[in-house]
Amino acid sequence: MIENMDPLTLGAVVGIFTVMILFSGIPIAFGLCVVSLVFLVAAEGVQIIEVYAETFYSGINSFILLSIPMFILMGMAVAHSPAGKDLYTGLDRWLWRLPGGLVISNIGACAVFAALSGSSPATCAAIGTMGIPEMRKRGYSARLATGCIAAGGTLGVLIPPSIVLIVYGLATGTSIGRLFLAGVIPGILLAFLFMFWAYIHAYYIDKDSAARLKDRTSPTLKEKLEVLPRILPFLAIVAGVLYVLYGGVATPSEASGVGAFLVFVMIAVVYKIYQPKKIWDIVKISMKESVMIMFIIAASYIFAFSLSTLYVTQSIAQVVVDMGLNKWLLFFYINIFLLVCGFFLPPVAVIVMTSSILLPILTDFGFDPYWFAIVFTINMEIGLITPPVGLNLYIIKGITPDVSLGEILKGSIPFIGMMILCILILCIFPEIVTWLPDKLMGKDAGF
Amino acid sequence: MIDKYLKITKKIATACGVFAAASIMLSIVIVTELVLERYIFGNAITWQPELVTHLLVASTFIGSAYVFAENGHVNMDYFYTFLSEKGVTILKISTSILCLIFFLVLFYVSYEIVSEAFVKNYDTGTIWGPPLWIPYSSMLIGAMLMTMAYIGELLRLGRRLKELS
Repeated sequence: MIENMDPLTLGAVVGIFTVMILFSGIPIAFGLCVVSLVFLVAAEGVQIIEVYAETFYSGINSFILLSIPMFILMGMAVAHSPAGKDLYTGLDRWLWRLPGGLVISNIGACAVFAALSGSSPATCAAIGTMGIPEMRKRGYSARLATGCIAAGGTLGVLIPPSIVLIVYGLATGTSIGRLFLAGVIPGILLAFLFMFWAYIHAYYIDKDSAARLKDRTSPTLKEKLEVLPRILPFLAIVAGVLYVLYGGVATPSEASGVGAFLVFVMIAVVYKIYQPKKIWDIVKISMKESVMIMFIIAASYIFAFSLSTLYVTQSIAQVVVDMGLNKWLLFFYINIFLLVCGFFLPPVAVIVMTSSILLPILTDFGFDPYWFAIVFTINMEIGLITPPVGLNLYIIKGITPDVSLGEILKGSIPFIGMMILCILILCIFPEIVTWLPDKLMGKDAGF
Repeated sequence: MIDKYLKITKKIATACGVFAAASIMLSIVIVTELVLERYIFGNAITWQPELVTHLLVASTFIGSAYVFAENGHVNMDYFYTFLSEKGVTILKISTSILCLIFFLVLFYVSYEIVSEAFVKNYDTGTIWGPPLWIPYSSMLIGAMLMTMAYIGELLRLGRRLKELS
């Protein structure tokens, strides 16, 4: 029956079936494997299963993918050491004078910690555990305190090194170094937009608390300086890893592998974390995260392969191109589609599953794949603070059990507005994304 | 009997976790050695990228049973809140059967692939060129472990359903 269906109808059937299977509560990775297997066998016969298994295997049989567990290890080692606390204290002492200072320094701490850990939940947990009680103690509303950390945590997927951008690079064949560079300025811009909203909220909405914030004593220079020796080595490692990546000195896997090694040396030297039990805990938690992501990548890869074998990918791309839509209207629809996907699925699954369909369409309409990667990632960030998945919301809820999930969500909504504003700014000024990679790597390098 | 089976699968899953974590740790050491070898001593690289890639694949397939035991594979369970406990159990049984079928198929095909590579003495086709059946067997072992894990899951869920009925 399936072989007589036209690819578009088949695409719709696969889509509906996939949604039903995934909503049944089956692990996402296994659900995608089941859907691909069913449709491939139905269309091509049982003899396809050998190709299926080999394709599934080859989905993760890549040296570049090693950068995923390595970056996760780097991040987890930092997240499970007192580096987060030191970073938080350091930024608070340096930024205390700024208006809305504590909230702004919390967002700043999220941005820097995100760069160190590359993980959104780890950032939320590490900075939120210290930052939220502190902000509330100093008079900020629970809504602002929780919302700013939930949003600040999402910066982890945009500011390099970012696992999401690595997977995008692999799925689309774009340069990971160039993607990382493309994420730098938009990441900083987004952090500033978050800070801007925090300032507005702190001073114009939480008026009463603003008055209470004035009587804070200034930290001494000694206090400001004492924390630096502990956090600077970690920042230096991340800077070093990114430098060798951008400079094309080493591949992402090599750079991240050495980065992970150095982070382990640093936590041993700075925080005396070298006991086998503690190291084992870090490795175990990183392995869990890495295996989960890698399995999703393999499953999404086989899912994309089956769509392509069934000619669904090519047909959808052709139909969209033939529709003759206005470039920006198409872009708008794609954003809505990605947002909806991001509400339910983890970013890596969305990327691997959809990039083979979306990228040919977008390049056909003249969009830059690097610019699109950043817009894509911001869409995925929104999914992290919106229900029903909204991982960051649940982490914040875990840290602050007395604040309701609804209240945390209300605090996060204005920050979602800031993310949409950021996408709009990037649409009007795409150079914000492309300028830095063009400047440092040359216009055509990295393709 | 069921408890004994569940206990054994849990123990095996823990051993898988240890293997996967050790593979990742070993990868860090090998990559660091690779970088020293390539950029400091200027030597050619032969076996290192391939070995760490095989370790990565092995840790994913074999570690999957551990991650499953720890409930670490993400899923979308929003509809569970609308269902009774019995309804959730029935739904979980249905999805577990689907997964069991998938892993049985993968186990069968992996076995075919591994035995073909072994009998025909294929290698990976690289300079280092280890026998191909070794890296492929991680998929076979992974599929076998997941099959065992899902049999255990179905036994557990079946017992729960019986209690609820």
